[in-house]
Amino acid sequence: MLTSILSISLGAILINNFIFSQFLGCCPFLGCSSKVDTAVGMGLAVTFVMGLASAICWVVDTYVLQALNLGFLQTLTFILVIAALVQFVEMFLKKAIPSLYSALGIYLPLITTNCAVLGVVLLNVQNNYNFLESTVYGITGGLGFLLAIVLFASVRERVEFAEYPKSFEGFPICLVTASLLALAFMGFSGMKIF
Amino acid sequence: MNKVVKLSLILFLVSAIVAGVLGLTDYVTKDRIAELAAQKTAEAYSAVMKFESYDEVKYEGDQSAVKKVYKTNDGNWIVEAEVSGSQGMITVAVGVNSDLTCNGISIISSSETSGLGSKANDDFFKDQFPGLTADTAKVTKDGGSVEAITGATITSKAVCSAVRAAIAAVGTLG
Amino acid sequence: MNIKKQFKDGLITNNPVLVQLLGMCSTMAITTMLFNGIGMGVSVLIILTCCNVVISAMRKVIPNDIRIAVFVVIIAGFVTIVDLLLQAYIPALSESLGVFIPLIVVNCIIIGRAEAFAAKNTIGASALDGIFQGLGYTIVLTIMCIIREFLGSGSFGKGLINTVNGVIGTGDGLQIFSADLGAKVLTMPFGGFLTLGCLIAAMQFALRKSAEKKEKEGNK
Repeated sequence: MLTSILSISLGAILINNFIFSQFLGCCPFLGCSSKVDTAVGMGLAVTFVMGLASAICWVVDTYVLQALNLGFLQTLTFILVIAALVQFVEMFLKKAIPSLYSALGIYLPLITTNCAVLGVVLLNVQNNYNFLESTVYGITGGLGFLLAIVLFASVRERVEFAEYPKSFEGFPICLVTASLLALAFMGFSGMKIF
Repeated sequence: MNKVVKLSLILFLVSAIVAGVLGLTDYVTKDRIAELAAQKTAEAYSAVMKFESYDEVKYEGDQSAVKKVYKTNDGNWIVEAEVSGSQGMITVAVGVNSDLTCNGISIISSSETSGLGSKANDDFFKDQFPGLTADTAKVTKDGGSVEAITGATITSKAVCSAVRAAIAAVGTLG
Repeated sequence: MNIKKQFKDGLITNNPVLVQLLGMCSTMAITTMLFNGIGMGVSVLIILTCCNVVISAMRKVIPNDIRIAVFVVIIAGFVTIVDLLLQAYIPALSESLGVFIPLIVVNCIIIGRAEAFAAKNTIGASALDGIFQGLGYTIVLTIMCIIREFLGSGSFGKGLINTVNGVIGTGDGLQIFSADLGAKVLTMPFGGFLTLGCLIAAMQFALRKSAEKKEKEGNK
C-alpha cells in the first residue's frame, strides 16, 4: 500500500510530470508564469482543486455513475463537478480567508478550463485507482504542476534580459525555454521505487 | 429567487437533453465497443498460449501487477498483468507454461509514446520472450536476455517486470 | 462577414493555434505521427462546427448569466458522442489519442469560439467559422506531425500509408531513412514544445514581414 502511494507520488511529481511529460495544463502554465509570485499562487490553487476534484469525482464515479451504469456521462459529470467545485471554493475563500482569496482571486475561475484538473480525474478512472490513490494522485499531480510552473517562472524572469531573435518574442521563446526544462525532466524517467 | 429557479430549470433542461442524446449514442455504440474489447483480449490470449478452453483462477497473492489469471485445459496459464510504463499503464497478456517458462506475450493496451513505446507490440521484441524464466526475463542491462527497444528502455523493463510478476504468481498457484 | 475573410482568418491571420494561442496542450501532446494529428484535427473540426451551430441557434434563448455553463454542457455532450463513435468505429485512433479525446471539452478553442463568435453571429456564419477554425487547427497539427515524425523517426504517414487489410491505424508508413538515425527526442515532450515554439516564431516572422511590406507600400 505504502509503496504504491509512494510510487504514485514520485511518478506524478517528477517522472510523469503533468506539464513536462503529459502536456496537461499548458495554458495556465504559459499564461500565468511571468512572475514567480503569481506562479506560486496559481500552482497552489490548482493543487487544491486537483486534490479535491479527484476525491469528489471518485466518489461520484464509483457510487453514482458506475453503480447506475452511466459510464458515458463521465466527461459531462466531471466537468460540471469541477465547475461547481471551483465556484464553491471561490465563495468559501471569499468569506473564510479573504487574504488568500484576493491573492488567488483572478486565477480561480480559470482553473475550470485547466485541462490538468479534468485530466487527472479522467486518468484516475483510466488507471483504476482507489479512493486513496486517486486523492494522492490529484494532490501530487498538483504539486508537480506547482514545481513546474515555479521553475518555469523563475527561468522566464531571467529570459527577459536575454537577447534572442525578434521573431521569438513572446510565446515562442517561452516554449523553447519550456522545451529545455522538459528535456531536464526527461532525466527522471525510469526512476522507480520498488 | 424566482430568477435562480428559472436559471436552474433551464440549465437542468439543457443537461437533461444532452444526457438523453448521450444515452442514445451509448445504446447504439455499446455493443460494438464491448465486442471490440472482447475480440482484442481474445486475440491477445490466443497469441500467447494454445488452448481449447480456460477457466479463471482467483489470485490473491502479493504480486500487485497481476490482475487476472486463467488456467487452460492443458494445465498452462494465461496471466493478465498491468505495469506502469514510461507514461501510463501497460496491460500485458503473458502465457506461462506449467514448467514456469514464458510461452509468449502480447500487449493488450498501452499509452506509451506512439512510435517508440508502442514498438513493444512489434514481433522482434515479443519474439524474445518465449522460453524465458523468472531469472532471464530482464533487459540485457539488468543481466537478463531481453534486448530492449532502442529509445524505450523503460517500456521494455516494464514489460519484463510484467512477465516476472506473471511467472511468480503462477509459481505460487501451480 | 464574407466567406473569403473568414477563410483567411481561420487559416492564417487569426489561426487558432499560431495566432490566438488556443488549444496548446493537445497540439503539443499528440502530434507524434500524422494519423494522430489528422484524427485529432478532424475530431475537433466536427465538434467545433456542431457546437458553433447549436450554440448560435440557441443564442437568443440562453440567459446571459449561465451561458458558460450551458456552453460547457453542450460541448461535453458533443465530445462524448465523438468519443463513443471513435471507440466503436476507429478504435485505433481512440487508443492512440487516449485521454486527449475527452479533454477536447476543456480545449480553449471550442469554448473560445463559442463565446467570441457563435454567441454573437448567425447559424450560417458560425458553421463556417467552425469549419475554417477547425481547418486552421488541423493544418497546424498536420505540420507539427510531419516535422516531428520525419525528423524523429524518419517516417511519413505512419498509420495511414501501407495499412494492413485497409484498416486505418495499422500502417507502418513510408520509412524515408532508418528510424535509428532519427532524433528521437523530437517525438518526446521536448520536441513538442520546441517544434511549436519554432512554428509560432516562423508565423510571427511572416506576419511582421507582411506588415512591414504593407507599411512600405502605404508610404509610397
